Amino acid sequence: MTFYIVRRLTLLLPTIFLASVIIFVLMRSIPGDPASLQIGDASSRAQVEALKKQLGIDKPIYQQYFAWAADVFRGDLGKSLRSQQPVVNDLGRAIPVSAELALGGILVATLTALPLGTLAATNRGRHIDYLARIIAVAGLSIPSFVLGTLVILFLALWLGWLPPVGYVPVYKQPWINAQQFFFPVLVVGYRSSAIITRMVRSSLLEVLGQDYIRTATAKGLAGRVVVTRHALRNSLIPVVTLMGTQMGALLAGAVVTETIFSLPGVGRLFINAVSDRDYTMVQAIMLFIALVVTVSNLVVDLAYGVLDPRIRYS
Amino acid sequence: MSSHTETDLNGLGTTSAYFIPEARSFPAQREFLRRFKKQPLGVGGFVIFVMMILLAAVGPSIAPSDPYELGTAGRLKPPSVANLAGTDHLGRDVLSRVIYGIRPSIVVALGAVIISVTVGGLIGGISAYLSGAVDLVVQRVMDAISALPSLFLGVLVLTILSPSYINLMIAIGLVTVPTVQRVVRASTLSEKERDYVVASRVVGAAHGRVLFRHILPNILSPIMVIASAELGGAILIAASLSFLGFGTPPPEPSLGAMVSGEGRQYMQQAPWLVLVPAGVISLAILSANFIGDALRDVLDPRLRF
Repeated sequence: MTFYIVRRLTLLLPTIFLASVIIFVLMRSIPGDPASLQIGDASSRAQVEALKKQLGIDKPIYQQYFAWAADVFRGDLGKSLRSQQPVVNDLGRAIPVSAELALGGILVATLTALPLGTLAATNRGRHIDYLARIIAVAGLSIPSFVLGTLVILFLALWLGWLPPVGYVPVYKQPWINAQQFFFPVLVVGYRSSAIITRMVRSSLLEVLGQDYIRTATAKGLAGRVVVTRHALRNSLIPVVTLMGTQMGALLAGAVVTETIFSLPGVGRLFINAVSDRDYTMVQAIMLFIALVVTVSNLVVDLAYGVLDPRIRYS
Repeated sequence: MSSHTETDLNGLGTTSAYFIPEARSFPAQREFLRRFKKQPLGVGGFVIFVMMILLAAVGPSIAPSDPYELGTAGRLKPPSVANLAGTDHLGRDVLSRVIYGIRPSIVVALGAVIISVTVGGLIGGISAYLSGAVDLVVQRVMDAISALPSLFLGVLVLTILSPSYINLMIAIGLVTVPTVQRVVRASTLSEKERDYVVASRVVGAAHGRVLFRHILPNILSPIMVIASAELGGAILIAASLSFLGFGTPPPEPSLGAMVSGEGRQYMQQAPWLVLVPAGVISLAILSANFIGDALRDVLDPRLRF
C-alpha cells in the first residue's frame, strides 16, 4: 500500500509538470504584456523595458519558466504583478470561499444523487425512473448562470430578500455565512447531483443485471437487502471516480455561481487576474487547481480499495 | 489475447455471452431509426433541436424587428402584441434579439463539436494504434490538460485568440479534446486486437488504411455517442463564456450575454429581459442532451438490458 502511494505520487509529478508547462505557455501567448498595461500608453519604451526587467519578463520564455518553477518548488508562488503582494495572500483569501462552496456542493450532490439514482435504477422504466431522469437531465442542461439568475429573481421579486452581499467567514458570523452560501451551494450542488445521479443509475443497473444479484434474489433475500448490501457497494466505484472529478470541477466551475452571488472565490480571482494580465496570479490559481484535481484523483484511487477489497495495490 | 480466443470460438459456432459482434457495429439505418423512435425523449429533443437549427438558419428573416434598432415602443416595456417578449433597456425588441442570438450559439456549438471530434478522434485513434511510447506521452499530456478546468482554459484560449465566433469554436473544441480522445482511444484499443484488423495487416494494408477504412467504421457508434453528448456541453460552455464576458463583444446578440450585464441590472424591473434568453438557451441544451441520451441508449449495447 505504501509502495503504491509512493509510485502514484511519482506518476503525479509528470502530470503536474506538463500542466505547469501548458499553463505557462498559454499565459505567455496572451497578447499584451503586463508592463505596458500597468503603466499605460503614455509611458516611453524605456520605461516599459525597465519595468519588464524588474518583473523578470524580458528573458527568454524557457528561462522564465525555470525561474518560476524553481520559485514554486521553494514554496514561493511569486508576487502579483498587479498589487505587488505575494499571490498567496489573495489565493489564501479566495480558497476558503471556493472550498466551502465546493464541499457544500458535493455534500448536497451526494445526499440527493445516491437515493435518487438508486430509486431510478430499482424502478427502471417506471414513472419514478422517468422523473429522476428528467430531474437529472434538467440539472445537466440548465446552465448555472440561468439557475442562479432564477434563484435571485425569485428571492428578490417574491420574497423581497437577497443574501447579504460579500463574504463573511463561517467562524466569524455563521448565520450570515449560511445565508450567503445556502443558495449558491444548492445551485452548484444541483448540477453535480445531476451528473452523479445518472452515474449511480447506470452503474447500479449494470450491477443489478449480474448473476450474483439473481442468486441473492433467488435465495429469497428482500429486494432492499439485495440492493443495499449486494448491489450498491459494487456500483459505487464509477460513482466515486466521478465525485473525485467533480471536486475539481466544482472548485473551478463555480466561477459562474460566484459571479452571480458575488462571492470572492477562486473563480472570480481568476477572471479578474486574466483581465489584469496578472501572469503570476493566473499561474498560481491554475497550478493550485491542477494540484487539487490530481490529488483528488489519487484519493479516489485509494478509495477503490476500501470499497472493493478485491482491488489490491501492488 | 483473450479476445482472439473468443473470436475463434465464435467462428466455430459457439456463442459466448460476452461476445456479440453484431451489437457492437453501427446498426443498419432502418434498425437504427426503429430503435431511436422508441425513445420519446430523444425524438422530442430531436424535434426541438431541428427547430432551433431552422431558427438559426432563417431567424433573421422571420424576426419581427431589427435586433439593433432602438424601437419606438419605449424602454423596458413588458411583453405585448408588438413586442412579444418585451423590450430591453435600449428599447430593442427582446424576441428579435433572442432569435438572432440562437444562430451563434448553435453554430459555435456544432463547430466546436466538429473540431473536438476530429482532433480528439485523430489523437485518440493514432495514439491507441501506435501504442508504446507515443501513447504514453500523448496520454500524459491529455491527463495534464484534463487536470486544468475547462472553463478557465477556454477563457485563456479566448484571451490569446481574441473573441470571435471561430475562436470561440476553437477554444471550446480544444478544451473538450481530452474527453473525446479518451473514448476513441479506448474503442480503438479494443478494436485493433480483433481478427479483421490483424487480417488486413497480414494482407499488407498500410496503417492509414487499417485505421480509417477498417477500424473507424467499427467505432462510429461510440464516436456518435460522445459527439452528441458533447453537443449540449458545448452550447453550455459557449453560453457560460459569453456570460462571463468572453463571448463576442456587444452589440452582437448572444444568449449568454443577454443574461449578464445590463440584463441582470434591469431584471428586477423587467424579468423578461433574462427569462426569455435563459429559457431558450436551457431548452437548446436540454434538447441536445435528450438526443445524446437516446443515441447512447440506441448505440451502446452495454447499457441495453
